[in-house]
Amino acid sequence: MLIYSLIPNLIILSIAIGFPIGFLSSYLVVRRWSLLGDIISHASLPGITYSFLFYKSNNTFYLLIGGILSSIVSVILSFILQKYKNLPKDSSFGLVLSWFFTFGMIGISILQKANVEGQYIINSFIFGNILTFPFKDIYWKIFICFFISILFLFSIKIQKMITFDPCFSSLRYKYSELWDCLLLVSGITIICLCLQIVGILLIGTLIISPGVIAKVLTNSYGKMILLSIFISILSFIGGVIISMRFTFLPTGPLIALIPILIAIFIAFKRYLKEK
Amino acid sequence: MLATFYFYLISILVVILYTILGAITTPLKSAFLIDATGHTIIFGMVIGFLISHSFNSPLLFIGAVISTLLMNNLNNFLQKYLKLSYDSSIGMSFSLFFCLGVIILSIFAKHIHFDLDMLLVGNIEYSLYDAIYIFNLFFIPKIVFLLIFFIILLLYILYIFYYQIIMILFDSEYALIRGIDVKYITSIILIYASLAIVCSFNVTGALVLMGIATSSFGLYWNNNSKSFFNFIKKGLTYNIIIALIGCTLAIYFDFPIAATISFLSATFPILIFIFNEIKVFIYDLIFIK
Repeated sequence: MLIYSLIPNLIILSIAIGFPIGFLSSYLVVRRWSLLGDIISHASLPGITYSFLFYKSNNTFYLLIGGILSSIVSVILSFILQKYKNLPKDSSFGLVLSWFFTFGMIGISILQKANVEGQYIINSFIFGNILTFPFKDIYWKIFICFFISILFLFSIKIQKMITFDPCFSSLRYKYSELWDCLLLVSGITIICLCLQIVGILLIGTLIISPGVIAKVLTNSYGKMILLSIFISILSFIGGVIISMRFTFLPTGPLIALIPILIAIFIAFKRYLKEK
Repeated sequence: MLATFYFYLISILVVILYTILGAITTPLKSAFLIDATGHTIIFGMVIGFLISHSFNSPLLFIGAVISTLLMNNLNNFLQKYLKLSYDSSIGMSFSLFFCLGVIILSIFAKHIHFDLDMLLVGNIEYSLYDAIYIFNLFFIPKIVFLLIFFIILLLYILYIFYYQIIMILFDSEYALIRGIDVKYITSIILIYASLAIVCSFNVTGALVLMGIATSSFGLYWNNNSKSFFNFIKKGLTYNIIIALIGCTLAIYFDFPIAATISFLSATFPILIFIFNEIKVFIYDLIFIK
């Protein structure tokens, strides 16, 4: 009964998270940064672990701040490696991802030896567990989601321009690069907010799948964003409701599975049509 | 004493295996192939385990190979019919199998204790339990034989397909025009990668392999390695030294060995790069107005 009483809150949270995820997904897909979601999520682990070790509190606010900071450092580092060392995109992403993730895993082993209370919360960040999500924090999380959605909504024109040509965009708009950074930081924030629901290992898929499916179905960026938002909300609500109904099923994989199945269905339909 | 020796030996063998594998996959712009394979095999291993109820069954290997090949086919299918880029399609393909693996595990294996840390970064101690005892005097872990076998197999594959692999590394489209079956070679590398990852799963887990595989590439990229052989030689020297240091630190501080080696392995290319950039910055600041 307790679990069912959470459903209205969860649906509101799913809708609130679905909007910024939809915007972010479209932006990352058109900018060809599909792997960035994976990097951000994996790189948040050391921030989360070491801030837990430092504060010795499972208050998600401190953990998220740590996660966001380490993700920002990882993104800057991977772009610098690409730019100045001419490393291929996936190699620089791979190097940075494994560096941060293994650093986080070493932190977890330190944590296990320190025997700090409430360590289970770190596992909930890795694999995702809706039941460990602190519903007392739901209001400020919804507010952040709303704020980030508004930010993405009002910068659609700049997003289009940056995607078309970053140099042209920086000539056309004085603060184009600043907007680009702001959107990326907002994206990192929203990814870190979702970690406790979906988990570090699968959030990357959830970030790219709605945008990928929407890009396949439409050519307009506006329609792509709408579709992407719809798919991400559908995935969140579907995954959460199924895992509430069958409590032994993990929430994260269920949420990530829904958009992948939609993509496979569309591809299969096209295959049949071509045949 | 003997256990510590085996920790070092297994670490060095794992590092040799993944450095050579990384030297092939990373220049192909498929560094994520090893990561994707690491995620995908969990599905095959779970199915194999549910059928055989044993962690040492060959069904685990068969399941891992089948799931990797399915992932590769799904990747090509999505790329073809949804016109996706390689990174988008591989991100979706491996996640499907990883999600299915975790879901099946939660449904059918509720009462089986599954060490989650081992899934992520492995645990080298477990590999010592599965050993061959010689006259009850000393033991040799089976994984040592397996790793040596896989290294020899990889060297054999390199020897047989050296020309084709070099051609594909140079330019895969050019290789295709020259009549090289790129798909066939890629499938062989994939099958090999999946088998090697299952073999070393106890030691490395599924997620820390990419650090070892990409680090030498990151270090020697643009560093005038005159040949592919020279590149592998430098990468191996670097990673073996890292394995020795990493293993010592991990044993001393009681850290997970694979994670420590992977972390150190990726640390040096990044630190060297940062120091180089700082050096250039200071030089510019002093000598250039």
